[in-house]
Amino acid sequence: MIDIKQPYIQVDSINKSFGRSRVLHDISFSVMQNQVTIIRGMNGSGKSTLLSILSTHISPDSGTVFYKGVDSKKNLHNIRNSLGILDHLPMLYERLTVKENLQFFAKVYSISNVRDEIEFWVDKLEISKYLDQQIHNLSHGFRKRVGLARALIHSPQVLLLDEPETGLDQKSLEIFFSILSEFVRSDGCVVLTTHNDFKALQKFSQNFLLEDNRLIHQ
Amino acid sequence: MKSIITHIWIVLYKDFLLEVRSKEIFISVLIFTILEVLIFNFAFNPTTEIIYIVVPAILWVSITFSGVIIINRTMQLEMQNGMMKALLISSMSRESIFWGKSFATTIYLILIELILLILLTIFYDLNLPLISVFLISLPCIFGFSLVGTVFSVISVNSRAQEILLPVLFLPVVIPIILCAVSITSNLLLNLPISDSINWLNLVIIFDLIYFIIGPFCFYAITSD
Repeated sequence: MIDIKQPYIQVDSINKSFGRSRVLHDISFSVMQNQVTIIRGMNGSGKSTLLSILSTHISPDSGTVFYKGVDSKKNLHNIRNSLGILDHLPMLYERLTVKENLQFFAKVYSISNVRDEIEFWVDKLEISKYLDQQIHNLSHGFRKRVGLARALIHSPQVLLLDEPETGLDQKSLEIFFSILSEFVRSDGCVVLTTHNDFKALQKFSQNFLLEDNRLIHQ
Repeated sequence: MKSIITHIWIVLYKDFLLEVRSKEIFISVLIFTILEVLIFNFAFNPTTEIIYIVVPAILWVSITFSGVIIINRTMQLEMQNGMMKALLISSMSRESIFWGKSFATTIYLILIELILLILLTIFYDLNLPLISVFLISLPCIFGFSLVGTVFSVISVNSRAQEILLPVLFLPVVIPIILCAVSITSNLLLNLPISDSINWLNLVIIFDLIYFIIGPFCFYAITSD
């Protein structure tokens, strides 16, 4: 049973450098359920590095990330199962169809009802008619929609999104906001980096600015 | 254990599906292999005296160079569109990725070896003990793939990946290739298998070492 007041993600004094270049300095924040955490910052400010640390792809030099109060290093398998990630890159195989890509990731996450899950997400993201198209034939916007379906196919509790709005048209943005709102309402939490305002998500959100390697609450 | 086997199968199946779609690996390696055999055929006058020395060398030089292309290419597929990152941050274990990739390379190399054996039989008019050569080469190819998968993940992240892989990989895998050449040569000379047993043992020891340390090395390289 999750204590509703306990943060879902607790970032505690993390530091990260690449060589001599310090990227993150003493970053601490927490993310609750039903909350969107928006991190803004200039290019190269360390937003993507922070998301990579949250996604367990890279480790901080010091500091700890807790998921539901558990050190992320100690429960990697379960934490990774609970994360959905949409990066700058769509993380899809170009030569596989939309369906094959989603089937692949559904099997990676050992989902039992693969067919139903795929049907559900492709309907929601309005990509049903592209199901048998190979990814390299799709536009950037549709790739991103398929990428979001991939990130959500295993019903994660946390969504980590790196500038998800880039290259999306109005229609795609509407779909994207509606899915995010629904996700947050159903006890999910979202951490996203952006340059935009995301007014549609304002009522759920806490905002941070990543500047000079430090995180400032706004 | 069941989930590891399932994940290995998923990676393997996905690699073959990608290859069936693109045919990038098989076509390029096939052309490369045919050219190699053709060039060697022109370079050497295939007299019976030298044929038993030359053919095992041609076979394993071709497998080695084709193997380098295959290993490079299979790992490059994962580097496109951030796929390796997607796999690493999924709940799939890194061992599954390692084994899936190693088995895919092994199967590609077995197919190439079969084609090579047919080509060598035709070009050199040989009476090859095909089944024995094929069976005895399986542990050699498997070891080759295990080492190759470890080194491919190092080289694929560097800018000079095409150069770095052979430079790092070939010195390490050379014991397997030497053993394989010796075993194949003995088989061609119709020597009893007992004459090759030491070479074969060496290959099996090498395979066992990489069977154990391969997944650990892969895990260490892909961590951070």
